[in-house]
Amino acid sequence: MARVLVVEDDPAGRDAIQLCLESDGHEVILAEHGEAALTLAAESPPDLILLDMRLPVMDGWAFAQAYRQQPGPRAPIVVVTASADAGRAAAEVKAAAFLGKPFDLQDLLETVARVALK
Amino acid sequence: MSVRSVLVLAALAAGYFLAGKAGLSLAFLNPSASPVWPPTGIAEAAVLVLGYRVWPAVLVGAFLVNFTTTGTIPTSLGVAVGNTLEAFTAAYLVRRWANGVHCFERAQEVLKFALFAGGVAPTLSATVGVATLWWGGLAEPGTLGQVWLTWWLGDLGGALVVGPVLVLWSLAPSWPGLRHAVEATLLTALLLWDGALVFTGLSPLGERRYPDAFLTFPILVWLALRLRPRGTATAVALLSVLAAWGTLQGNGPFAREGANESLILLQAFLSVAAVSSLALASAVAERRQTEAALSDTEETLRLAAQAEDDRARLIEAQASERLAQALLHERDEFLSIAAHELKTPVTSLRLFAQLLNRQLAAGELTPELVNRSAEVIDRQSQRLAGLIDQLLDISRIQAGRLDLTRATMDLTEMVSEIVDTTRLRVNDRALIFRGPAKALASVDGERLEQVVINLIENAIKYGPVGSPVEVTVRNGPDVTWDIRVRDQGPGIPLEHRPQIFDRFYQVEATPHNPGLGLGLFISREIVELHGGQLLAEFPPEGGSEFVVRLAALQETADHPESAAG
Repeated sequence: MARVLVVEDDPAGRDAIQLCLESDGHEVILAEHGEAALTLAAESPPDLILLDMRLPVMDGWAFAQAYRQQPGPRAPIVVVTASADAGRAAAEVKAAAFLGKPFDLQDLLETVARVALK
Repeated sequence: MSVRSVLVLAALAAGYFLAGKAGLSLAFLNPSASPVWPPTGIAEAAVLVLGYRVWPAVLVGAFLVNFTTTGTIPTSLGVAVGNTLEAFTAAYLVRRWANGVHCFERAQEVLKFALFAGGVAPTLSATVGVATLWWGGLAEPGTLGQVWLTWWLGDLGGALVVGPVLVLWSLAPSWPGLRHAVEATLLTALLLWDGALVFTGLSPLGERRYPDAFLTFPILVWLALRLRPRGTATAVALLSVLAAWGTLQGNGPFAREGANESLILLQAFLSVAAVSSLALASAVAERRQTEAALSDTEETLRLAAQAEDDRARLIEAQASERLAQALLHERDEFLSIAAHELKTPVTSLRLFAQLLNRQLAAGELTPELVNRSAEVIDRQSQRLAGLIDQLLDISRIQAGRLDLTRATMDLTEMVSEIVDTTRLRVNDRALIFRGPAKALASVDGERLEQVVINLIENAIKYGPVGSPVEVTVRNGPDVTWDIRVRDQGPGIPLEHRPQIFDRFYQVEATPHNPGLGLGLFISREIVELHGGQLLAEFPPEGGSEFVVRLAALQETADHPESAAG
């Protein structure tokens, strides 16, 4: 099972994703924004990062750029966004996959399994 | 000296000579003094138009005329010098004081021309000429006065009748247009017909010596009003020829026993007629020019105004295009924010619903998960409803259909109730309320509650945990009530203050800041619909204070309770 860093500013959204992933046996770390996520990722490297793009303090794009400049192994990113052009955002941050809000539980679990365990 | 110059001088001398010979053919009193003397006009015009350098031609022409008449060299030379001086003086004075060749463009200068070329210069010529004749023994001392007057009047007539025609035709002869040419021809013909009636034997009028020369004046005036100075001068010159011929035949008002006397009288008349009509024609021309200049100026001004207008319209168009693009961009941005804000709670709702389903199917549904799900579903559906309300408000505002249902309300009661309700929900900071016993205003209760709640929510959202939120109702300036909501937050950066009431504006860089950024925009619209003001104040000691200022209702003494609604 994978260690997933969830970067999401909406508390309810964080809750929902956490419960869903945990129900499938994954370990979940939560961050409210990009800056917190950078610290957490450095402290305990995740297998996968679920990244919301529209975030306070440090948004998804800035996080991705900073994260890729960090030393050490880098986990694949899955972009989670409500934006209509989720695909473009994913390409911009070289994400492994993207999930457009609102997504299904099934999509979430499948994508995480596919990307994290590749 | 070029061949051309020599030819011009020769032609001038020849012209002077021929005109002089013609003039002297009418010399009855003394062979050298004629009452009709066109050479003066020729010489003056030549020097005026061609320059002082043509004087030798005048001198030679004048000398030859006199020499061939009297046969003596000294007197001919003396008379020629007088005639040359005359032309020279006239040209000098007219150039110096009467605008030179353009002297026929203004009435004032026409009169100056008459004085210099017709008065002063001939005085010189007549004096030198008659003195020479006397000195040469060619004039009886007893006739000197009469000869002088004849000479002077002859020169005067030549200067005023012939001079202007030559000067005016020498100036860039422009084609005045067919209509004008036809009109000029017809008017000139009319003048000549009139002249023929008055001065020749064509009619009984001309046969008798009635003083009817004035009959030519109405037509001269008509001419002067319609034709330019050039046409007028030409017509007068033609009339002069006709009149001289008729008078010599013994017809017309000026015919006397002696031809010299007749011609002197005629010269006087023609000179007056020439100067008067020329002055009038130039005055009219001057006015036309002024009008043309004025209309040119008006046209220039009109064009300038139009250009300015066009420029303003262009700038306006560019501004409205920029505005349209800004609005388009704003709308795109809004749609993106709205999509994000709406999809976020929907995502949570779906995930919880599907998770419940899955756990139920797996037989792993715990009461804890059910509780948590129910809580999330309740909160997120409330949030969605709130967002939808805001969107509806915005579309009502944009359509101008946000209507108020007003009633008299006690603001103290309303605001304190909101504060009490909020206290039940918020336990991490103090909510302080202050207000008078009663604060009456005519408001839409539901809408105003929405505003106050929005302001209190903002104060809680942006103020640090543990800091108080102060809500006050008190008298504002004039007859108003202020509802003040004060937080101890970081305030709003100076550069953002102008935009806080804009649609979609949100303070960036706060840890968690959901919402459409429509709250203050909608609140201000609501307050302004009430005729009030929504103000933001930033006290120096920190924090932000938002003020809702509404007209206060006075409690009437008669019905103290009726207004409380």
